[in-house]
Amino acid sequence: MNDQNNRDAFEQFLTDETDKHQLFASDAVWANISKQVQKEKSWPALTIVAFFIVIGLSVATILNYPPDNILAKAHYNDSVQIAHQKEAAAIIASKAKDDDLESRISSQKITAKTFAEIEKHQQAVALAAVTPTVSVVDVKVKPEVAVTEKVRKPLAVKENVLANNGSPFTKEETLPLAMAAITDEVANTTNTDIAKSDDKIGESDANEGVTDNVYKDYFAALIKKKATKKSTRWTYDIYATPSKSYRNLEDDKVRNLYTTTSIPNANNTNTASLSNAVRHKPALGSEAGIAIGYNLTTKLTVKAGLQFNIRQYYIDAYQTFGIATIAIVQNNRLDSLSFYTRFGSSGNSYSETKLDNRLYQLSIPLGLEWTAFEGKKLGLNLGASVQPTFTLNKNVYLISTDYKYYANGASFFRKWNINTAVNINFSYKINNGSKLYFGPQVRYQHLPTYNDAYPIKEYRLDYGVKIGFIKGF
Amino acid sequence: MSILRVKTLPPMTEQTIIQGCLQNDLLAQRELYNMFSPKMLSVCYRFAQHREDAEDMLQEAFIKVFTQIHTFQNKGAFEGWIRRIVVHTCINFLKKYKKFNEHVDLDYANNLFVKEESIPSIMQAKQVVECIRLLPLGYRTVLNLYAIEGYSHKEVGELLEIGESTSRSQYTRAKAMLETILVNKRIIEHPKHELNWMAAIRNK
Repeated sequence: MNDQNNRDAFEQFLTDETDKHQLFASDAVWANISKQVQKEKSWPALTIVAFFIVIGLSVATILNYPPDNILAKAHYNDSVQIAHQKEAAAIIASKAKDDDLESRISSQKITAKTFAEIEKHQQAVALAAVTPTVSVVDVKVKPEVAVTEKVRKPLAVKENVLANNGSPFTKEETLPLAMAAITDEVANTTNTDIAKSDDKIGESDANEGVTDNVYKDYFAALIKKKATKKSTRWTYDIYATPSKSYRNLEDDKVRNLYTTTSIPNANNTNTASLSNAVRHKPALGSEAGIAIGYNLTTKLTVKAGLQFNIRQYYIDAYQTFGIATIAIVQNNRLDSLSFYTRFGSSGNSYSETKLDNRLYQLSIPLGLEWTAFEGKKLGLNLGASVQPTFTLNKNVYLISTDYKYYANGASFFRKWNINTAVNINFSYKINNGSKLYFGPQVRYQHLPTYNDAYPIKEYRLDYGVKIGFIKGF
Repeated sequence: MSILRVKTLPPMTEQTIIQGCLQNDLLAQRELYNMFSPKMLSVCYRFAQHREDAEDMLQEAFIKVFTQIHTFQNKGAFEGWIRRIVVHTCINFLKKYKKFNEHVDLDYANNLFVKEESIPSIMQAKQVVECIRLLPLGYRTVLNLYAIEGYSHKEVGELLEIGESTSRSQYTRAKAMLETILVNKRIIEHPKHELNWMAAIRNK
């Protein structure tokens, strides 16, 4: 540093004047500094939302096209194809044999031996027609062939089931998993089912022989039966709720603390009430989430899920400059904290501006849903949930204790909160037992937005329309 | 009905703020920022070309203050320590884009068209600062460092990576130019008579 004694009057004048000069930085400067210094990680909201959407779609896809059905369908197609091939091969072989016989007969060598051969052949054919079908399942065969035999010969399976204590396959461990599932179905089929199937097959045989359609129906009935039997109590629910946020401000309980303090407060101002000082407009927010439900009874379902919320409202403010003093309440004692701010609650029309109090939140809704009415297609449900909620950002503005200014509320923000929601849903059944629903919802925030140190309590209330989709697993 | 005893707690002292900042306490950091940012933004403003640049400089400087506060050893004034960080941040900011060894003819000051409305007449300090900001960047930086921040020409030369003699000549020209501007603005009179010019300051 230079020697201060060498400074001339001009330099001293410059130093004195510039020392008096002060400038006030915009709020963004402090916001950036605190973000950098506190290492606050910006929440990747879009990534999280995209992740949930992808997960939701994947789950929905898997549940709508269960692999078991796909495999069963594939095996069914294979078995039908193989059956056709075997049938065709048998016809060709039989025709070849007949041709051979005819060629031998037509060779002008008809003798007694020829007639004997024809008679022997006819007897063999007649014998084959009356001989009971022999099950091939005890023979070690390729799985596809085994399936074919099972599909085409339910009667043989029944006999084999009875003969092997309910297990139609002696080499079950060699079968693939999907086939084992089919085996279970057949094994679980009751005698009545089999008798019905026999009757059906018997009728078909009598009219036009054993056709593929009969087996197809039979197999489809089994699969349907399995699906019906497995309709569980579990459901999943994907929903979104466009909503509007309102707020309620209260400071009645701390007003008596202001009487003996020098902190600028509402008692010193002319403002009649808090609601007159704060002008806010509701803004559109939304909630989106997924939930898993469990039907306790036919009418009552318990639900749990994960939900992403955007809640916001606008504050009508004015650009000005001032010091926002916030009284801090600690054990019924008052302290104060002052912030430089550029926003006031009053001013002229030229300086009007709008502040956006927007929150990004993650909730875990835990709730109950009661079915008040359920018709063939339409239904009415009443729901309620408790939602522990974590707020991901804290870019909010709060009003000073004297209601004159707005300041950044990050220092007072409460990260965890509790919300409850109640809703009425009108539902409409679509295919596969799934439902679309919509209905009004009210959501209330129980703890104040800011912590206990901030004397003015803010409670938020959202009104929205819930739209969703429910499907059983 | 119970009577509540209300007592306002004393404001945070500088030492309390430093302790809080050492523990990365947000309230203490905010208090420190509130305490020093107006004055430090003024420093940045004198160095910067634009107000936006000044805020960027201030932001960068305060991040350094908060992250390096453990290096403050209570040997000097805390404000002086912060100010040195701010000044160095400003110089580094300017170094990225500008050179400081430019030469401007003294007639530049006489030809400067100083609009009355371009210098707000709210207070003299602000007028003086605005006049300083009218100087070319190199002159302004040297003048800020030498005359206002109290650096020696040797230190100025090292900071700006120019020769000591260059710093001296730049300062001489900057001073003459600023005097001319201040006279044109009628903030000072008789700049040639250094012994008496203080008395001629208007509105003092």
